[in-house]
Amino acid sequence: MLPVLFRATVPPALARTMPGLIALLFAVSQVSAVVDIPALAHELQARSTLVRAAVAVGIALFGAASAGPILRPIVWSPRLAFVWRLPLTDARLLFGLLPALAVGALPAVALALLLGPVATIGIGATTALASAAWIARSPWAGVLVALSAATALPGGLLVGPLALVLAGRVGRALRNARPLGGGSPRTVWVRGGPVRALVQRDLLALWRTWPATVVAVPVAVFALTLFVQRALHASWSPAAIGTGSVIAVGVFGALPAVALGAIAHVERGAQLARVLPVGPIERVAALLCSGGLAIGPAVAGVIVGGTANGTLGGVRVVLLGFAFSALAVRTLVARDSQRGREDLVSHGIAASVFLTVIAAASPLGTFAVAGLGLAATASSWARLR
Amino acid sequence: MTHGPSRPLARPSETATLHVRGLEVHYPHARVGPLDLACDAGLVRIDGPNGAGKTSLLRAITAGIRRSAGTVALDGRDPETCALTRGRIGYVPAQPELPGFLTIDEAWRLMADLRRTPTWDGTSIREALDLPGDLRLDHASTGMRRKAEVVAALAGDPVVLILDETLANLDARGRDWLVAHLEVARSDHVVVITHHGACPIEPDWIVTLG
Repeated sequence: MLPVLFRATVPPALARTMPGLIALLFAVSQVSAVVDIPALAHELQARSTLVRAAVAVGIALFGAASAGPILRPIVWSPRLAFVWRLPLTDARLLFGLLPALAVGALPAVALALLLGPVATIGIGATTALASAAWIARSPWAGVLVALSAATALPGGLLVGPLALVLAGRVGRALRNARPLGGGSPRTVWVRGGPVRALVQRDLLALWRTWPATVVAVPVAVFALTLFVQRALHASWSPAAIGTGSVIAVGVFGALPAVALGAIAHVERGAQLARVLPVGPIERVAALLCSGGLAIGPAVAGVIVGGTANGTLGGVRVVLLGFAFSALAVRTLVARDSQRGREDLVSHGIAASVFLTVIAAASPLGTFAVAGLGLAATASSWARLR
Repeated sequence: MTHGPSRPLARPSETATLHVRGLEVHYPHARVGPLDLACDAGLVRIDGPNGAGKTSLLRAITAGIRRSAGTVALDGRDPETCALTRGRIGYVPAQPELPGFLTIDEAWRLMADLRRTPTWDGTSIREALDLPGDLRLDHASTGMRRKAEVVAALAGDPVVLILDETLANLDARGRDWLVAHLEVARSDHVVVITHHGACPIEPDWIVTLG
């Protein structure tokens, strides 16, 4: 039975993880060019408990954000409903899901490997527990998240055995996972025109389908950006903030594409997208509004940082933002609604991340990406018409 | 027990003429159609065995898939190129297509807003179909979801209603309500349905495929 579980869970986990993994590897290579990460990790150990705790929480949330959204659709997939009816003990069930969990945690584990073996174990456990907590949404979630953060702290590995003891409970929580929003969602629909309607739909999609990502990623971005900035410069000068923010563009610049890619999933499998009584201008306007609102705080920080870094920094940010949006929109409209080619979304995100890193690395790359963005816009327009 | 519409059906300010000529959809190993239709009010039932292409042709009329041959025009405008014309067509697909993360009330509000009728209120129809407004679609049963798709299709009172096997999955109350609604609507709406087995509503025209 376990091989069946492997076959059923690992391929979809792998398909969802690859774009994130590619993003992380490029981002880490980008950061490691200017930051001595092991030395930084060593320096961090000597910092105050508050700083270490903040970093630990950031890493735990990063793990949860990378593995949770990957695993949750697998756990809840109707195609895997049979899994929950299998006569398996909690431990065997968890064991069957471990490969998928491991695949989902690859990005966090890759980061952990760069920080050293002790951190690897800690972050591995952190990721597993935090992501399980996000997925299960059980009463255990709060305990597991707290435990995750503690595991990432120096000395926190003593919590590991306790985590193993809890593994069976995690399995049960997974098996009893309930879809989010089982109660009455407390949202208000503001009546209005087509663009407002599409924006509300897209934001509800993000909030109700990827709540962990919506909550965790900005927090993790904030923590890790502080981490990089602090490492680069001993002071919080405008130049330091600017440099750190530009690096943050390279590391987390994929957020707009990820958000828009997530929105693209809303139209998944739906001829609905073509049937909707909205024209191309309204569709693009709504998409840009949704993406802008979803990533507003991150974009604002990046723009401030980019501007502080001088004219070139500001231009780069603007061009990159344009390229992200264009690529994401192209990804959306490239989806063949008659054949449901969902892989285009993840490929689009991966391409966006790849191009982002190139752009962050050189001014010439920035303009090359902007050119591609222009081509993507023209192509999108032609397709939408 | 028969349940009629909970409120008088809002009359559209205009009737519409649907023209379908030589409509075909080609797949790599199959070709469906051609379909010809021309009507301005009344109920059309499209018959045919499984695989005859009923769903494909209905999707092509709504611009859900690209047609391979033929023309579709609603008052002279092609739904594939005119968004406003697509807004005048209400479609209940055979498989649920509304986003599952929306609640039932959000779903019909979304469709009403997209059809530029933000004052349209589907509460009475939703209540007549015995649906809770705050239930998420992906938590609803198959029948409830189908009813929710009906409410969303009626949002804004479109002049063309296309129902693909809609009556099949409804309970008696929902089916009676919908049949009564269509009996009223057929006088000034174009209604196109597919239905296997004994159909509870008598069509004005029958088109047989395959």
